[in-house]
Amino acid sequence: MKKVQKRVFFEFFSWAALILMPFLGGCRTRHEVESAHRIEPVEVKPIHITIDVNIRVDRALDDFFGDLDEADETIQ
Amino acid sequence: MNKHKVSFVLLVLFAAGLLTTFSAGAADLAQLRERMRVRIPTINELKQDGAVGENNQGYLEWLRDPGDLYDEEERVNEYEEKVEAENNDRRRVYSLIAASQGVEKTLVGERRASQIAASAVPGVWVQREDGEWVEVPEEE
Repeated sequence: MKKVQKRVFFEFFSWAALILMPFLGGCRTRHEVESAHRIEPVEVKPIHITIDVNIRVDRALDDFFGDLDEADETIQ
Repeated sequence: MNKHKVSFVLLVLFAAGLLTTFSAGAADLAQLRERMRVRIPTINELKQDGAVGENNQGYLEWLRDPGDLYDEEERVNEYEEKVEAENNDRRRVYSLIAASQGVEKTLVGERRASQIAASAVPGVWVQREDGEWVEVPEEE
């Protein structure tokens, strides 16, 4: 009797497992972590660089021509 | 020992070379400035007569034939020489500034042109960035 019970028990669970197998996929959970690695482009600021260069050149011109311009009546 | 002496002599020569170069540059600038200062009255006369104007590259430019403006040939020649000399000196100054600032000589000339145009007194002819020549108007 015990043997028969065991076999029935085993068969029941075997069939149950076989039937439930396709549905196991539904129990799966999916976790996606989106990690975006964006490389920011190096920002070149040509306008600022140009202004900086112009300021430096203007200063150098002022250093040289400053006295001359003061003596020049055609320059205010 | 001899090696050390040779190195020392080379070092002294190198330092002397550097010193000479820098003093020559400074002397060059001082001479340029002095020559330009002496020329100011003549250049101003030409500018006020409308014979020359300041172009947009930082140089003087003839706007009228000096032969039409002035009768004496000697005077005309003198003016032409002075304008040429002034432009040559300006070119030299722009080159020196360009070298010291690591920029193109043309940029230095353009910056000087805009400085002159911004501060020119009425009656002086200046060339705008677009190439048009305009006489600085009287202030109201």
